[in-house]
Amino acid sequence: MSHLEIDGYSHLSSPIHRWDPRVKIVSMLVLIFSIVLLKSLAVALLGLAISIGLLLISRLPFAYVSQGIKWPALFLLPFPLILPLTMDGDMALTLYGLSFSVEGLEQGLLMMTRGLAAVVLIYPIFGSSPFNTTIHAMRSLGLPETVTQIFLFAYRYLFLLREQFTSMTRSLSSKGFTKKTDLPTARVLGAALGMLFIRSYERSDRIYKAMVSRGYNGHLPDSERFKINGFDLVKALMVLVLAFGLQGLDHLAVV
Amino acid sequence: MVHISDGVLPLEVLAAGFVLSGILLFLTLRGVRAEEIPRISLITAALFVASLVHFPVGPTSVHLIMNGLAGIILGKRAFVSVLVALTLQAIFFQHGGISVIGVNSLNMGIPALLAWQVFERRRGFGYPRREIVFGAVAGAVAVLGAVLLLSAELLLLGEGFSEIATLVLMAHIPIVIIEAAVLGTTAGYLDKVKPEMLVPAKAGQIRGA
Repeated sequence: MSHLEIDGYSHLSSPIHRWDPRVKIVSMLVLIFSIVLLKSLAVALLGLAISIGLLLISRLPFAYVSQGIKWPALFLLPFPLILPLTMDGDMALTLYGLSFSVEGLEQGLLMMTRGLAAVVLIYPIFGSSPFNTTIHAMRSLGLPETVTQIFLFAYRYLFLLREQFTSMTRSLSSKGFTKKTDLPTARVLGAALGMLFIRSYERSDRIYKAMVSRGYNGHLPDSERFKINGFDLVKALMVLVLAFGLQGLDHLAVV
Repeated sequence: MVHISDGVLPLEVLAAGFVLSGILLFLTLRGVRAEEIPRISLITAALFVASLVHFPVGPTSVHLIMNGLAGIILGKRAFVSVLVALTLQAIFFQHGGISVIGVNSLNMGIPALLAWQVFERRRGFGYPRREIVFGAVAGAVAVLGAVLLLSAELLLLGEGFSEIATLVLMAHIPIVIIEAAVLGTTAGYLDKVKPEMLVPAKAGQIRGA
């Protein structure tokens, strides 16, 4: 449960950290979309290399990134493992009665490479500014105000609730509760979650009243002003060239 | 685990996901009042924390999904809650991904709305434990709906994907059962301790502060 600190290294200094968050988000999203839509495995590997390159430029510690990438890698693994067995292909190879299709393997590896490249890019985008700054940047890019507020408040409450739930779990285990695959476990967890939700609900009443008493009327003041300079645009241009370059190469490679 | 990852779906499906999510977001957020915002946010955070809870299944464990719970507490406002929770998960845990936020929001959000509708049907029944029964059904519907949508999208990719789609469906059967059991309990508990938290009869209006 320790992974809520995506912005734990946002205080570092790197060309990506110094990039205007709005320009960074837009250009990096274009790159993500360009990569997930590639059709050639070789170009997708190049895309993965570019993602890792951007990660290195961002100077985010590798240990912290690899810990987070573990899970999506696991979700993507079934594709290269199962598709060779289930897809038809010209170059099928038969071994002990099982037929492996090279096309299936290629397709599976392609999906895995695209997925990993996109996941790696999450770190330079969201790990290089404080999360609240990211949300404010998304607001100024056109995220509706209500949704922006829900993001900001939910993010703030996450830490409160996690603490509360950890203490509830501790209290349960001190009374001898251990999780098993059975109905009583479902009942205890269901009631514990019910309690968490009730406390949250009551707390949200108090929070709302406190906010109203400080002048909240459903709108947020514009607290962050962003300024774009020439360097921001140069970096954007470089990333966009990479994004469109990958698509161009992909067209050449597939034809 | 019902999340689809980056890099699997083609452009048309990704684009359709964003467009339809945008439309649903607009429709379900219309007329939202200031006092609803802290409540939606807090339930979103609570959902996120609930999804960190692991439930043992034999030697492995699964995490709870709880999109049905969003439905029975928030009514139509459940959609924005699911969308925000999924985006936070994509950023913090890299579950799912940025390019698939639209698709995943539909996969989990539509069944959440469905669960709310199922749960509403309890009103016609006088049975004293109806919250438990309908809560369990709503929990099962919410997860099953999400898995079916996900499998359907995998099938769209072509014939070679039918085995993976079946595998995904099978792997989620224990989760359907667990969510039904947990959500039934939670709904029964909420009804006993704080019944005003379950969406009131007037369609989709969460009670103000």
